[in-house]
Amino acid sequence: MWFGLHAQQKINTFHVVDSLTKKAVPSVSISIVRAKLAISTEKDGVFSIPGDLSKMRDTVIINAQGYVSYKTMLHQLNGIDSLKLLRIEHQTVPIDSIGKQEIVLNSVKKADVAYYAGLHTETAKFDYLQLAQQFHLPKAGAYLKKINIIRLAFNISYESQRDAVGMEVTRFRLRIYEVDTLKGGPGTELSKRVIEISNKDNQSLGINVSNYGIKIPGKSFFIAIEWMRDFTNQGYVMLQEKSGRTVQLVDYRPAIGIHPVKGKILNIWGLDLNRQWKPYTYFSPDFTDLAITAVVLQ
Amino acid sequence: MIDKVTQLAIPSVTVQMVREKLTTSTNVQGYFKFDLEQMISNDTLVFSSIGYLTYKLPTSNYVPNGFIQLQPSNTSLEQVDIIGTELKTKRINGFDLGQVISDFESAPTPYTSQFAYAKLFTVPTENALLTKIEIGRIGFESKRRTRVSADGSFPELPLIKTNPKTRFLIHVMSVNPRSNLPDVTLFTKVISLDDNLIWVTIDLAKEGVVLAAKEFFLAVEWLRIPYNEIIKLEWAPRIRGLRKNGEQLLEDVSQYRVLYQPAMASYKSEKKVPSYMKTKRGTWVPAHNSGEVALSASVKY
Repeated sequence: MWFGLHAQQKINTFHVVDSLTKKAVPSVSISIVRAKLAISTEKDGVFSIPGDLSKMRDTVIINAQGYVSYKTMLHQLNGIDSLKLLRIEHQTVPIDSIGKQEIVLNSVKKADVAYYAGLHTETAKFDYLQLAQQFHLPKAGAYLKKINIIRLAFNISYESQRDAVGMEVTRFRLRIYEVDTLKGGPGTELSKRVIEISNKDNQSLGINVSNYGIKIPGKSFFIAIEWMRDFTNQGYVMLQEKSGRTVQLVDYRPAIGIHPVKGKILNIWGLDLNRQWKPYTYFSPDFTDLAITAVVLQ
Repeated sequence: MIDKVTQLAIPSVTVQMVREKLTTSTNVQGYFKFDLEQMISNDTLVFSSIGYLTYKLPTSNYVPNGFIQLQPSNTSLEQVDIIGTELKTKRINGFDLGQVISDFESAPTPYTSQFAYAKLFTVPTENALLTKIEIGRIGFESKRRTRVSADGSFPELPLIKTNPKTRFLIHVMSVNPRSNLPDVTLFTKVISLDDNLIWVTIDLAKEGVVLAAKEFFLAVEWLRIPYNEIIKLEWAPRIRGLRKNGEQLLEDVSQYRVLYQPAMASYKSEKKVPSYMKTKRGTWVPAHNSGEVALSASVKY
């Protein structure tokens, strides 16, 4: 994957690898902060930046699930071709006891979902790497069993709308977080393994995560969608700018449904290109939750 | 911060933390923040904005990411007393359900996503009372086929996501005597809908809207806000790769377009009523719609 290319520019290619195994880290998120650019690498962990790096003063953040984020100035990458990421050591979180009662959190009906997050619009460009939904448990301690997500997909008629078939194929990742008690947003990651979902054109996606052994120690947790800003997910959005000009912008699928009810507090947080978690207020005050349902055992 | 009556977000509300002597204001979505590690417990938040009663909240009662409602300070309306003889009722620029439904015959491109649309109305006399407005609307219910076309197949609806909810403004406006364009706003009402009804009736009997002149404009103003978004799926080519001879390999990928509700129906009519569209710059230009937009008014006089 590469950022915008012009003829006769020097191409700086980087390989992101695990610092211990030296193997390529797949699907690495690369953000260039001030330029507001972000992509995901393919499985080979390779990305390229055109131009003379020694003159670039922007900040680049390199992140992959299970690894410590690497943040540096672009000019400091000049002359380097390999970036080694340090693996995060996960600690086993003790939970006193888990019952067998199944609890459904934030139940959403597919037919009720009409709004979607993840598209550039006149109101705001969508510059988030992840969106997270907060869930609240009746008491601390639970196992995460299943996740259901409603995403933007159309009921295509295969007979008469054949051109549109396959338009909405998507691939994304799920991340599970504890609450950062200081800032209120997502904190320590609870999912040790990568949860990657691929889907052709279903609107409702049910994911069984019981085999991932995700334990929730506290009374609240987050489930986040991580966008893979790669070739598979790349599409476009047409919108009218403030000047009146209609422009075509690159956009990444999927767009995630919004729960069409207004709660008492906002439960959606967004990870911006600076990798800072902030409340996602785009649909406020009308809507407060994503169309993500969690089923836990407690 | 939200308006207690309309539930709309209030931007630019001044928020003061009294003891700490901090001040901020709400953004376009009504949100505010102070850069503090944690909320100060022994202080008071004061919320003030033009048009609203000032509200004080002890910080000990503050709920992070919660909603705070401000009461509008001016809500009185003029009362209109009607006495004496029985009034006549007249419906102007009327349309019927059949005309609205027939808009489905060709792939419906709804009259939507403008900034504002205004239609001219002429009443029999001065000082008539505006009692009702009716709007024909497209609800995009893809499963409900209201009509079968001549060859027996159902017409395919465009790939647009259904959204029953919408919020928009209706204005009653005077006519500029020199330009004949929409002029001064005489009355405004916020309309909130949350269903897919194709016939919307707005009862104004209690609002006491007296039309001083024989001619006036009814204008629909679209709020281009997230609440009104509907999404249309199109597709566009992108380069998938290159052949050995250098020829580009193209493939179609999704292209989304965000439109804004309400989607108003239009119908075929021999009679052309003067109507105008508001441009981004705020000027009114003649509207060149192929049919009549389904907007009617009823008056008593």
